[in-house]
Amino acid sequence: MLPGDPVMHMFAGQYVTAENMALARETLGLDKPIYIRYFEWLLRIMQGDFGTSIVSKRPVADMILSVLPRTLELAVAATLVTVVFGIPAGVLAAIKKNTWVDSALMVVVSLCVAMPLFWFGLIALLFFSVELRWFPVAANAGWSSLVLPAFVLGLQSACMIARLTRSSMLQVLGDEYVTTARSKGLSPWRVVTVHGLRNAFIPILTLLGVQASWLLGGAVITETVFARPGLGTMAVDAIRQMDFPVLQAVVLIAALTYTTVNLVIDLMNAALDPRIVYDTEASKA
Amino acid sequence: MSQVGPTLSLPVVDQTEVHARTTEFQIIRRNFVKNRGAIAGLAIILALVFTAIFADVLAPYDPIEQSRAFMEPPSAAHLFGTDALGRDLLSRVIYGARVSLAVGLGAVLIALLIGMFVGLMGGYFGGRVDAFVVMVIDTFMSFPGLLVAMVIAAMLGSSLPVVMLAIGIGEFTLFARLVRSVVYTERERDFVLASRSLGASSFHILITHIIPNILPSLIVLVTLSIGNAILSAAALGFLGLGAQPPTPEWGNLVNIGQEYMREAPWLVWFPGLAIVATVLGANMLGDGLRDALDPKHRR
Amino acid sequence: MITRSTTVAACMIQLGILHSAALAQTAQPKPGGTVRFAIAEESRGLDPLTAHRRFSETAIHVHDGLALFDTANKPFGSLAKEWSSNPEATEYTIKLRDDVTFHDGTKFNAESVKAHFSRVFDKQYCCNNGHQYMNAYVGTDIIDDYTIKVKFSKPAGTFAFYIGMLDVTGIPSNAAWGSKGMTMNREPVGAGPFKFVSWAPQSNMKFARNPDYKWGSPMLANTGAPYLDGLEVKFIANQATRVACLESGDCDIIKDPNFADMRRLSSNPAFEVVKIPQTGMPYSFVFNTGRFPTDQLAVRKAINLAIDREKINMAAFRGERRPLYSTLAPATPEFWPDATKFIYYNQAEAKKALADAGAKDSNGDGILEIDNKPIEIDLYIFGNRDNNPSVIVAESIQSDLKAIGISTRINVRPWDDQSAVAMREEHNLINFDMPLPTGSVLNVMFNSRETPKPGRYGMSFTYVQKGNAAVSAELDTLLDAGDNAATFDDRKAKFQAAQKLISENYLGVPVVQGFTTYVMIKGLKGVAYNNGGHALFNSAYLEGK
Repeated sequence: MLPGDPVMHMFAGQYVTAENMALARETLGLDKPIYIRYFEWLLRIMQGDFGTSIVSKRPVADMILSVLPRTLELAVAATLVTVVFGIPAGVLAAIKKNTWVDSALMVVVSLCVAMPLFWFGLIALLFFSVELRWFPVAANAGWSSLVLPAFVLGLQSACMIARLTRSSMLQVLGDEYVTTARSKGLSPWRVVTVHGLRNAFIPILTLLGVQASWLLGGAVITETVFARPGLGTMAVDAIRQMDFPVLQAVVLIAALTYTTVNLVIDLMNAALDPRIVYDTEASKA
Repeated sequence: MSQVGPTLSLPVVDQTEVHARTTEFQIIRRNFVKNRGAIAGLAIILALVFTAIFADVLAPYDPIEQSRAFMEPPSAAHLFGTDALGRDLLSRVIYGARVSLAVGLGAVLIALLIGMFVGLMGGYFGGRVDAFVVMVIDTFMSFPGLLVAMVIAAMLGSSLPVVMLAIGIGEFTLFARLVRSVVYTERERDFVLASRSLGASSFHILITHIIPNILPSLIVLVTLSIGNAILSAAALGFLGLGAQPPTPEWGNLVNIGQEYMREAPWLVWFPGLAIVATVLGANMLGDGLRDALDPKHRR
Repeated sequence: MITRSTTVAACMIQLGILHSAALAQTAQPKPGGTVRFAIAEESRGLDPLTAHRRFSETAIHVHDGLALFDTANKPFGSLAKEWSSNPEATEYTIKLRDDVTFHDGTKFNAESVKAHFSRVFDKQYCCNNGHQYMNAYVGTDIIDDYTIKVKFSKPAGTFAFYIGMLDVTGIPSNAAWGSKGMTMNREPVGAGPFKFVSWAPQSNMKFARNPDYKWGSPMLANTGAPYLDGLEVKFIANQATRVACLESGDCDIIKDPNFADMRRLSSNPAFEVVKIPQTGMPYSFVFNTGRFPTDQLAVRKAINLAIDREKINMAAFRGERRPLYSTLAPATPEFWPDATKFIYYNQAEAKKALADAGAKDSNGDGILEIDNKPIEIDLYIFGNRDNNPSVIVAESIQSDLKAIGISTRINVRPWDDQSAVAMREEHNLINFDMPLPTGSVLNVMFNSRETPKPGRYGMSFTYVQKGNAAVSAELDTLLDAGDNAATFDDRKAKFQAAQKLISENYLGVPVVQGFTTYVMIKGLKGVAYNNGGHALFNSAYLEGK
């Protein structure tokens, strides 16, 4: 038994009779067994019908559509931060291996990976929005309200990417063909970009794909800290209110996003590296 | 699409020569000892484990004993200050080490058990079983772990065991993928094929050949996952789905302290820093172990 | 209008006297500007038919009610000019204003009110708050275009109070209802000072000045159209973020800051803090008298005497509230002053009460036993996504009770679980507050007609009264009589007798007396408040904008 019966949540704090509860149960289909409900839900989803929120009584599709752009812009901006800061930092650390630059970068990276996201967010919020007043608090639109959440969310994944970039680069830079290219007198810059980065890119890209799922989880925290509307806050509310049509839809969207992003990344990997061939047997191993 | 393989650069320990294990261990130990980060990480973790075990002795006060010294800033009497109910924050953070390490270890253990089971099934039996396992792993991979943990914690009601279970279920895929891919390669190895032809049972082969071979990789992954699990537990606490009061769990302490962040910043800083230190320690130790165990990282 | 308060007492006095001074102070309000107002929880809807806990907060800007009560519970007309009842309080004759126009241009008249009440009692829209508060409603007679007679099947003295509650008498446009139906919940058409503009879910609601508004309640300094061009209500669940919004200049006024920041903000000359004392049942716990050990009077009494409410106030509320020693807040009209004689802090007496009831620690674990059963209680608190001081209150109680040998398990649940927990009866103590402006609130918590039972789900926040059938029956009789009393004096007498019974039997644990708190920038003037603690922006203006 769930601590929250959806029907009870529906009428939380309201005056309800047993008949109303029974009627609500029937309307929601809660009187049917779970597998039937699941298949009915699947059928409806295929027809584009996400159902109606138990709490707000609004169509779930409308609710999702109204906040999806906000989460997408946060995710895209955070990914941008990840790429713009994470990859150069990793490359720099690899080039300057075993120097103070490398050590300093890796200390920062290790610290930032170890920080709880909400803690980082709260500190950033208090420092940049309240003390310095650089960014608005809980503003609802515009670039200025996106910057801080995107940085908070993006920097942590930038740190993870930086670590990976560094180690992939080191591996690639040690490989024979890079050494050969270097001995042929190619400029160090060309060696790094053309040979190093291009080959180190596949693991980085794959990690970015895995990060897509992490990013959506991070969005839950970031959106809560910064009071941004979005799929994350919607999920938190839905969990609290046992608003399962909304929760199911959010979870489905999260899974779909992850799958799509990873499909795209797999295809990109294939394009970057002709050695990757997709056939069913190979993909099993 | 269903390209299931470890994305973290985890070691797949090449141990063709099983009898060469003694030298192997020596190399590993030498590599580990040379790595300053790994030693620092080990030191942090050992210190924390020590703190957790001897919390009763180390804590200057009873962590739940209340006093009239509400929210006093750090002083000689209270090194970390006091909280809203006049409790000594240092003592609470010290006792919190117990809870947070237990949650971290518990969650990872659950993830490990589920992951091992799922991964071994898929990797060892192959075929339809494996197809099903890949589907399960892919499905769970596509949900953000935190979201899965939140749903579980909300459904079962928040308590420490539920938090462990929720995080464990949210993170088992890493283990399942690792175990599966290793087993998949290992089972085609000569010695496995040989044992099988000699009539060894599947279970026997698993225990004697495959598990010892994936152990180093698992140790690394476990170490690296503890940090994550502690972070996830703190995040659940932040969302109000964590341990129940008055448990001095670090995530909870930050969560309650954030209300007083302006007036009493130490309430957020110290437990927050404890989390950072633990996660940092676990990560450094994990990295060090990986570097020591992974032949690719030995240069 | 209300100056920054340093002490609670000063604030209460100021609230009382400054309403008249407000007129003088707001002599030259500046028109224009938009006020950004941050509250914690998003409304579920804006039509009175779906009224709920956080309804009036936002709906009050777009809807006017029949009447408006000030913070001292003094009634003023609003859409109604005046009202009176027959001696039995079964019929209320209400004279309506004839100069009111809804936002869609249609006229407000007797038919609008009658149609609204019919909807309230339409089975299709069942179970809204209005339905409950007016449960004896029979019908409405239209005397003329602007006079109605509202009829009840039994004396309904409390209607004289409920007439000021927006979830009962907020009147939407009937014409708009005809065409929009339940969409009115999301796009309301009312007769309030502001027109609805937009609602971005989880984010904000925007309202624009209603230029035609000229029917403001005489309670307000400005009875004409608002000075402000617009109003934006933001939903920010996290208390600290709400405060940050104010301090960073992104909000002009916030409701319910965290207690820690309240102190700091009160001493900051840039902000003004306004506290409105709550009425009804403030921050309290209620016992489950059907479950061991709280079925024992001695245990209930001991718990009440063992709790150090001063400490709770200092620790959890940073001294920003007041310890409460009575079931009803002293500001409630039917308050019984003697109630405070039953509850006080005396640990020795608490221990004695337990010892007298035969409780002793036979196994030496520090927890007392009665009939070999340990005295362990389950205490439930409810928090939102951000934390609330309930955790600290609960931990404080836990430590106080441990000192007298009672063990406490703290359970934290989301707000919306309150009803579910109450119905499952797994609690010994359940936290709630119900700041209604009348002693009728006692019915909600203590009348056994509200007890959930098969076929009847009650008002959810219900006290399960199984401990003592005789007391229960007597209490029910008193509470019913109070609800149905025709005159205020009669109701007061009945509710006071009920409070006596509740106090003698220690049915609840009052903790602290609450305040609805607003913090705003100094430049925001003229915000008014009703008895529910809701902010009204009819007379508000921004200085220097």
